[in-house]
Amino acid sequence: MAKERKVYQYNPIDLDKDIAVGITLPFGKPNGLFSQSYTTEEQAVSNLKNLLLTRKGERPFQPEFGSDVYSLLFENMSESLDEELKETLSKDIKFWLPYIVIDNINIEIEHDRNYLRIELRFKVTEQGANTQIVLFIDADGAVIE
Amino acid sequence: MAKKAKNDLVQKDVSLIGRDFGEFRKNLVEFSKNYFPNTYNDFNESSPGMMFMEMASYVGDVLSFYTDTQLRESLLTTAEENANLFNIVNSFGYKPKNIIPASVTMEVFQLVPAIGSGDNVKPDYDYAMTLKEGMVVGSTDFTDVEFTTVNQVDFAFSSSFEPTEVSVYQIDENTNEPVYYLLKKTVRATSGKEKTATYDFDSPKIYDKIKLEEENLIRIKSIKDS
Repeated sequence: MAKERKVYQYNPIDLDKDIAVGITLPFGKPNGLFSQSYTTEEQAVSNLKNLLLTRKGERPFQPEFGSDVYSLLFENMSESLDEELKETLSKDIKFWLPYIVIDNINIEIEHDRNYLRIELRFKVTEQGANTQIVLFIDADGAVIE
Repeated sequence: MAKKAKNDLVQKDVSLIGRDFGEFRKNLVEFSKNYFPNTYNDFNESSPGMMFMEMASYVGDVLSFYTDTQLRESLLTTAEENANLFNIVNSFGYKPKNIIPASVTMEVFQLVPAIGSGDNVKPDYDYAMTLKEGMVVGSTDFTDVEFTTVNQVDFAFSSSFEPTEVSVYQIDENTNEPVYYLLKKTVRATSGKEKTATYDFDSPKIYDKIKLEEENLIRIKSIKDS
């Protein structure tokens, strides 16, 4: 059973529009500074990207942080891959980002091109607006839109 | 609390106590909450900002480890690495030598006569010897090599830790009963020869020194004043 962990930030923290929540992905603005987010939804997208693009064991002192999407890249493209991906994504997001509620995970597998397209629809807490990110995975790695 | 420095810059409190990853991370989170409440508020592990804080904590943890290791290795009582220990003791004037003798587990045998008859025939342990430690054993092939036992060998004593193996060595052809038993024990032995050197000290002299003529000295067993 997964170990309980302390959740540092849970509720929407964008109560004041002038107070930044965090920094967003991708890094780098033309002026060389980090882009800041001012809404919890905006930050949640970056957090989700960071979680999905991190392999387990990659982060120092947080070996369980990340997702198993990369390891599934080397699995055979069987019929069960769809379900395995949905299960692993739901499990990792529920553990590391418990304030994100997943509405739907749509996975398209193109066997001929060794290509995966994962469409993730979610909202931040039950009251949040629907947001969507798309993850493309092929032999060269993963890209999030 | 933050204080105003002379140049009007806010002098920030920095904790120097926490020296592992968890403590560094906690201190950085507290620091951000205190001094950048309008700039950063998301302390979830998946937040890109937390990634930077954790990387900084990781670097701090590694540097603290090196600092601890360097301090530990600089003291004689806590140093663990051989090279550092040798360097420290050299600075105190002690010159250790790395002479390590070969060691072996040797099998030692003794013949003892049988006692009793019929079902009661058994080795006569009245003949069992006790060989004290320090027994010197030579080699027939290499006559200049000697091994010295480090424990005593007691053939009359047997335990699971120090067993005496008993086997029939010779049988009487007429009665078909054992005549001699062979007792076998094992003992640790190290190579080397024990030597004695005598030195005369005539007139008293502060911190008088002598030089031992033997090379490849393993250890000094004892120093006695005649």
